[in-house]
This record gives sequence, structure tokens and C-alpha cells, in this order.
Amino acid sequence: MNTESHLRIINIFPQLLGTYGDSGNALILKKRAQWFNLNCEIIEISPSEAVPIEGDIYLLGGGEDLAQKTACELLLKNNVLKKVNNRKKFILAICAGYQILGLTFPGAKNEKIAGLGIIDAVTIKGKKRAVGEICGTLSLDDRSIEVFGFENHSGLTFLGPDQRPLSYLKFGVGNHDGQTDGILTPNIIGTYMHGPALARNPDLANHILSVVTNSELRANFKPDQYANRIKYEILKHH
Amino acid sequence: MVSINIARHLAKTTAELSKKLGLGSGTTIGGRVAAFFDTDILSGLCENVRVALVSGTNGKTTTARFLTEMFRKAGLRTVTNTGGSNMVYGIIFALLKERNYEAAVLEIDELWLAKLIFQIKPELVILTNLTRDQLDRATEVRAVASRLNLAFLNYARDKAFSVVANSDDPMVVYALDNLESKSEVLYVSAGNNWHLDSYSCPRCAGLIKFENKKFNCLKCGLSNPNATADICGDVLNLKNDCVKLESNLPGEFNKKNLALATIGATVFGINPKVAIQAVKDLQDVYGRFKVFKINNLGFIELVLVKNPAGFNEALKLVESDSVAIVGLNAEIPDGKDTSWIWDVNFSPLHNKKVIVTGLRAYDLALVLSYQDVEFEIVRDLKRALYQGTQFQKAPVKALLNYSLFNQALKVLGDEH
Repeated sequence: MNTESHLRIINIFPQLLGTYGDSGNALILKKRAQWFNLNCEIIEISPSEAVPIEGDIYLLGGGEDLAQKTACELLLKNNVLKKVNNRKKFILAICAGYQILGLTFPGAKNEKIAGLGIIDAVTIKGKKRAVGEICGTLSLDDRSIEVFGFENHSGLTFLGPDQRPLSYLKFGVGNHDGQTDGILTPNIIGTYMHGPALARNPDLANHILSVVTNSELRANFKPDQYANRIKYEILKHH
Repeated sequence: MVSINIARHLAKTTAELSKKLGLGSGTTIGGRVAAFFDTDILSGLCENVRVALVSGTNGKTTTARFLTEMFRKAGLRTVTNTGGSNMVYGIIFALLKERNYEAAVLEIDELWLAKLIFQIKPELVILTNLTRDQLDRATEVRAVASRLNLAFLNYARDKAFSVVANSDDPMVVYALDNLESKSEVLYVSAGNNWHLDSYSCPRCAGLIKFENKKFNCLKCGLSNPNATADICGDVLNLKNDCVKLESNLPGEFNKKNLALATIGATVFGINPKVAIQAVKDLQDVYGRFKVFKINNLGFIELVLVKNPAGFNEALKLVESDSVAIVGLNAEIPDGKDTSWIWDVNFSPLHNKKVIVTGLRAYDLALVLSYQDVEFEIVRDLKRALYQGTQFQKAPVKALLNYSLFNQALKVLGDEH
């Protein structure tokens, strides 16, 4: 944590990158932090404001092609996210936000747009849109967990050889071929999972809070039972 | 090509059979059969008919219903599609069922509008609003707006027509971009509480600033066009006149729908006051906003909610002493992705009695938990409806998405 008693969640441009509920991730982190007795605030950064370097958790959501391009241009101005990329801070990036972190991604007219270059990943336009439930497993803090969400994207993302995917898929398209989804580094999670991702996967929320507080926060809370029920019923139909 | 009469006969027979076999209302299959025998049947059915199309994300059904009543009271023999059958086959079947009509008011899905406008050849298009909705099907709002814009511009080359739309919705204004020089565009300043889809300008991707009713793109200057009418509380101000927006239907959003329909009616030569008189006693729209009595227990009002913009508006209808039943399914007509409920602000439900229901009740339970709303889960809709009435003072508000709403109509004995 940057200051001893105060977690800052920076929700970046929810007006541009917040398609279908991704801003919920900010609320989930804040609530869980409070349940862990941590002081916490959400700082919403509008597109006319600069992204502060004093945050602990940085959130990027999904967005439409043009909004994604605008957001990326604004973020490239001083590329604060590249500067915060260290072990005490965390970046959670969903869908369009995940693509922005990479080297390039496709624009509305399939032009190649330079991303923030924080992860070794390249996204190109796919022929068919990937829409539907997605589910995979990953090993996190020495445990194997199952993660799930709803994907809706036409981008195909290819990770560089040294990058590790977030999860290995049971079903869904994910990065590009139905094998893996997203990326996991010590302080970045990128994924195609909406839902929002942290609502359905409280273990990921706990992981992020653990990293930024340098402690082990693993408790379950009341809403987690509902996330489990949703998962159970979705898996039942696959 | 088979004649329309034969297609009509075949369509009706199939629809009746489908209904008898319990496969559905028969509307879609009937339309499909007719279109199989005559691929251009829609053009034929709309020939020499004065057609008004009503489209947009929210308020289509209500606005179309208002307009139909206005036309009929004005003496126009008018056909319409009811209860949300707003895609190609539903529209074909609605037109086939009737004969000898001179006007048609057709609610049309916003994705289908761009495809069918050239066959239907409307005299009037009403566009209510454009916000995120069923993104698993529609992908992007601005892509929908962009397709509409192209279709309107092409159609305007063929035929003079009028558009009635909300001047305060940037996505709608973008859908009508460059149209004013070619066609009559009648804007109503009806307000806009949903900004989340248009902070980035749909035309140029610049940033849009919102201030009260006004919006302005800092890059390309897209902003509210001049309106021919504006809503001020209960009053619709016209250029040289004003009329009271009288309606039994609840909510600010229904005032907007009424205003758009009223201006739409003027395109057909109907006086605004006469138009509003025609609908002021309307109690419900195919079950929407209808108050049902359950045995001797109490009253339930049904409200359809299917996307975040509409849900936020509907939550304003829940009075402080009322019980709310909130229901969610994710069947095909609802959209398979439930993430959108996280864009809804559920704070109007704080400290109220709330029952969550539906096949995806746990998704609602999850979001309500994080938003500090207390609730009880009753997944079975019928039980939820009955249970809700036990606590009530005012009518229970049941806010349900599409497939649950239709199920509720059946449970409460009012099928459409």
C-alpha cells in the first residue's frame, strides 16, 4: 500500500471503458476491502482528467472500438500505467482494456493502433465474434481455482512467449483458440471475462487485494455463495 | 410469385396450427411461411399504405400503441403489430392478418429497421432513444446508430419522409446526422438521463460534455439540434402552442413516449390536443404498467425492464412504502449476458422490501448484495408474485425482463 491505511482504487475512464458492468469491479474491490477492515476509496477518473500515479489498483473495462481508441490515446499521453507497473500496485484490465495494455490492437476500420506496450501481446481482428460463457482453470497462490465470465469480443489476442495466460479454458474462445484466456503477471490481470469478472470470481478480487496490501486475504463473504450458485448452474448447462 | 391472398391463407393456417400444437403464438412461423412463398411480400403489403415506424431501444411498444390510438381516433383504419413482435416475420404476419387498412403503425427492432425501411417505405419514423441493450446480439450501440444513419440517408434519396426523435440523445442525433437537408426531422427536446454510451462522440470519438439537457462534442461539435417541441414537466411546448401531456401511464419516460407520438401524429395531420385526448384514458400497454389484482391479496403492477437505462427509470416508480419484485432471466429473447445489471443503480431499493426471482435470481442477489440492498430470493415467479402481495400497502411493483414478463402475464391471466 502506498499509504498505511488507505487503498486507492483508480477506475479509469468508466465513461469510455465500462461496457456492460465492468465498473462493478471497482465496487466489488471496495466492498471486499471494507470487509477485510481496510480503508478504501474509489477514484473515478474522467477522460478530461490525468490518471494519478498514487493509486493502488487500476481498473480498465471493456468498450466500443472508438471509445477504446480514445481511451488509449489519452492513456498514452503520460503512460502512467507503464510507470505503475510494479509489484505493489495492480492493474485489472477487461476486454478492450486488456487489448490496450498490449503492443497493438485493431481499430474500428481494422487499422493497427499502438497500445500501451505494458504486456507482450498483440491483438488482431477475428472473423467471427466470440460471444458466450467462458470458463477456465488457473493456479493462483498455490491453489487451483476455476474462473468464469461472459465474453463478447472480435479481437484475437496472441501472447508473447514469456507471458503466462490467466486461465486454461474448459469452454469459450478466450485469447484466440479456445485454449487460454487473458494474462497473469505478478501485478496484472487481463481477461476477456465480463460478469463483472470479480463479482463472479471473488478469489481474483482477494488475490488483487492481497498483492497490494502484501498480505494474505482469503476469506469468503456472503455474496460469494451467489457467485458459486451462478457458476454451478452455468456449468450444468455446458 | 404466389399472390398475397394465397400467402395470407397459408400463413394463417400455419399460425393456427402452431398455436394449437402449443408451439407459440404462431406469429413468427406464420410470417415465415408467407415470406417463403413471396420473398418480397413486405413491399406488397405496404404498398399504398401510410406507414409509421417506431424504433429505438426503449419505449417502442408504448409509443407505437399511443400512435395507433391517435390514428384510429382520427379515423384512419390502422393496423399494428402488438406485444413486441417487432422483427421481420412478426411485422409481415401483423399486416397479413388484417385487410382494408389505410395506415400502419409498426414497432420495429432497431437492428431490423435499417434492413426493412426500403421495403416498408414509411412516411414517418419515430426514433425514441439508443442505449446499450442485448450486447450479445447487437454488439455496439454506435454501430447500430451508424447503420441506421446510412439507411436513412439512402432512403431519403428515394422518398420524402419525416423523422421524429429526441434531440437530447447524442446517439439518436448521430443516427440522423446529415439527414435534415434531405428530409423533415422534427426534434423533441425530451431530456436524457443516460450518458454512459456517448461520452465518446459517436461521430468522431471526441469527448462529449453533458450539462443539464445539453451535450456538446469538444472535437466535432455534435450537439443538440434545434427542437420543434420540448417537454417541461407535464407540458409539451410547441412553437405556437402548448399541450398538457395527460396519461395514466406512470413515469417520466412515458411522458417522453407520449410527446414523440404526439409530434408523430402531427405529421399525419392530427392536432396535438386531439392526439393526447385519444390516449389519455389508456390504462396499460399489452400488460405493461397494468395493475393486476391477485385473489384478495392485493395488487401488482407489471413493468418491463430489459436494459440499464430503462431499469434505472423503472426503479423510480417504486414508492417508499411499496414492495418490489425484481426478476431476471437470460433466455434468448432476454440476451444471454447478465452483466448489464451491474450498470443499474439499485439505490432506490434501499430500505424497501425486495424479492428477487427468475432463472438468474442469483445474479441479481450478487449485485444487490454489493449495493447494500436487502432482499429475499424466491426463484419461482408465481410464488414470488403471491408472496409479494402479502407485505404490500401500495401496489407491488414487479420489474421483470422480457421472458419473465410474458410468464407473469400468463400467471396473472392476461396473455397477449
